[in-house]
Amino acid sequence: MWASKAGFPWPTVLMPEWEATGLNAYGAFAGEIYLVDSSGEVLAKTEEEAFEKISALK
Amino acid sequence: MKKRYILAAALASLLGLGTLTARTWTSADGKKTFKGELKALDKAAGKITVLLSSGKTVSFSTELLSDADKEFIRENEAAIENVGPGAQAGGALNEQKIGKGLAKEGVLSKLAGETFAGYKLEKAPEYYIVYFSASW
Repeated sequence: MWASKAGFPWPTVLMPEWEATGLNAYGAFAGEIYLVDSSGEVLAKTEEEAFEKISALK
Repeated sequence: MKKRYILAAALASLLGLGTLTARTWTSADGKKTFKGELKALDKAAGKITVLLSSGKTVSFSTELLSDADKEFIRENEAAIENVGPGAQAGGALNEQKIGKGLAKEGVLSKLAGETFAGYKLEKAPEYYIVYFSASW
């Protein structure tokens, strides 16, 4: 399985449960990384922005 | 025919879990190092549980670690204990817009060996990094 080869370490939502999580509402495309706070607000929409924001939050 | 499926998201994890607890650990004698993510701290027993990059989880005495690692644990023990299995997400996830969906029974999985197994968040993270991925 490709996920095993990639060492996919995170809690994951598989396609059948996708809509049940509400994550589809973000309208993101494959490969995108969003930083989201607990209220659901998107704080960053790229990997670079996300990790910059994380550094600022620490 | 190759099975098609899409991974929709994930990571999840509390900001601190991803950035604070993943590190390179060094043995007490300084001769060995390994990378791993700290999953839990048992202060009473003096043990930590680490998820290795291989996917294997190991528990061992903090006495086996370098002074720098012990200092790191001391400095961050409050945050570390909060990500451990003893921490309960309780109803906190259900109070979050994003957590509510992830708290539903059966929606989260985590790779266990060659297959995905059911997974439940043990804490309600304050921030989520969501990685949208696809494969077919």
